[in-house]
Amino acid sequence: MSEAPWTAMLRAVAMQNRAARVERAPDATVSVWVQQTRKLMPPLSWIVPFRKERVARLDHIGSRVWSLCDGRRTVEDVVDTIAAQYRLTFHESRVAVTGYLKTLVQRGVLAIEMAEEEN
Amino acid sequence: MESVKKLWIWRHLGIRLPDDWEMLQYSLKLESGRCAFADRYGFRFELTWRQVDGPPDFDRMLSDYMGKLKDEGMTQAHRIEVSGCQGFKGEMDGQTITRFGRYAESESCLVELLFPWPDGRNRELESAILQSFHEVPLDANNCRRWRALGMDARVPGRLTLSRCRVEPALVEWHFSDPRKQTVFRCARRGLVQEWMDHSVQAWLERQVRPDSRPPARWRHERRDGHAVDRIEGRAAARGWLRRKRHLQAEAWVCPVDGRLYSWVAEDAPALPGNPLNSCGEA
Repeated sequence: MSEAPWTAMLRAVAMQNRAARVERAPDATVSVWVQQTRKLMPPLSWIVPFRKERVARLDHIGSRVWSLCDGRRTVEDVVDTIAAQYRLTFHESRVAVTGYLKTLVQRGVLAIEMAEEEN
Repeated sequence: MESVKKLWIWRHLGIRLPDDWEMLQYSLKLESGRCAFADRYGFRFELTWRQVDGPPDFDRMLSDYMGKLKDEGMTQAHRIEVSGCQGFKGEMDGQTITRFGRYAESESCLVELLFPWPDGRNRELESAILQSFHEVPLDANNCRRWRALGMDARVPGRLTLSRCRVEPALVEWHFSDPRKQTVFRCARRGLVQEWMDHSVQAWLERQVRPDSRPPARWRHERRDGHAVDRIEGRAAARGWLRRKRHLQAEAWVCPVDGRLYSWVAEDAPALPGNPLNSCGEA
């Protein structure tokens, strides 16, 4: 049997997009404004207003996950912290956190650095 | 010795495993299936079952099986016996694997217990787990016990687990009668502080939607340190015949793990006193 499919992700490090603009709400939630890389081409751009930034509004747990992604903590550290804070089992937290990180990466809010393979 | 105190009961088969091993894969079928358990870094244990006509010839079966796995690349395969269980040990993909066979007599079931040992074999742990394996028969109330994924349920023996939903912070089981109608369902929900904006009673009422005629009876009681809300009445009319099923349901937040537990029974056969328990480390 080879390594479990999730272990490489646990060793990875998640970091926030430094180019993004962050707004913190009084209720401790976070909105992250990410610059759009795609641009609309004419004639669509004549009709549809183009926004330079796209926003990702994170809820309480999402904001907590985002704040833990500081470029130093591994995904495993984030999973452990969320599990302890929200009274989840390790794998409940792992599935929720890694799924959420994937969404945030797709939206340009975070980047994931995978650890080097051990030989 | 690593503690093997967490009891799992699935498909009428019971086993005790270390606290940090979680069930990540499961089968619902009684005839054949598999459950797989993992610690944080990988799979540590598999339980596989298959209904058979009678006790197998273990000697022959293990020899045949070992031969098949040798063909598939298993090396250093040899027979072993631990805690009265016959099995074999071998190396596959650079990892030690031990496999054991058991025959569950009352279930007419051939059970395989498989241990991958990524950090080397732990004989003490292996022996403790094998010794803990047991069949779980019907209790005095003709009920079956299911205990996994944080829930500990006792359901009438004629009901079978027809659906299991597992998501982060949510486990839901549906038990059905032979006509495939769900008559008992139970659930365990986490992150309660994050989404629960009603009282437990109001939440339960929204879940079960009782009919107003006759009015449902509500009861609030303290049970083993839990504030339990209970409703009994008729479910809202459903189907062609607009039949109103007899409804019973309970919900509570367990102060130990902070999760919301609930069960709902519609026209269920006689249920035990507490069909669902929380924080019940047996």
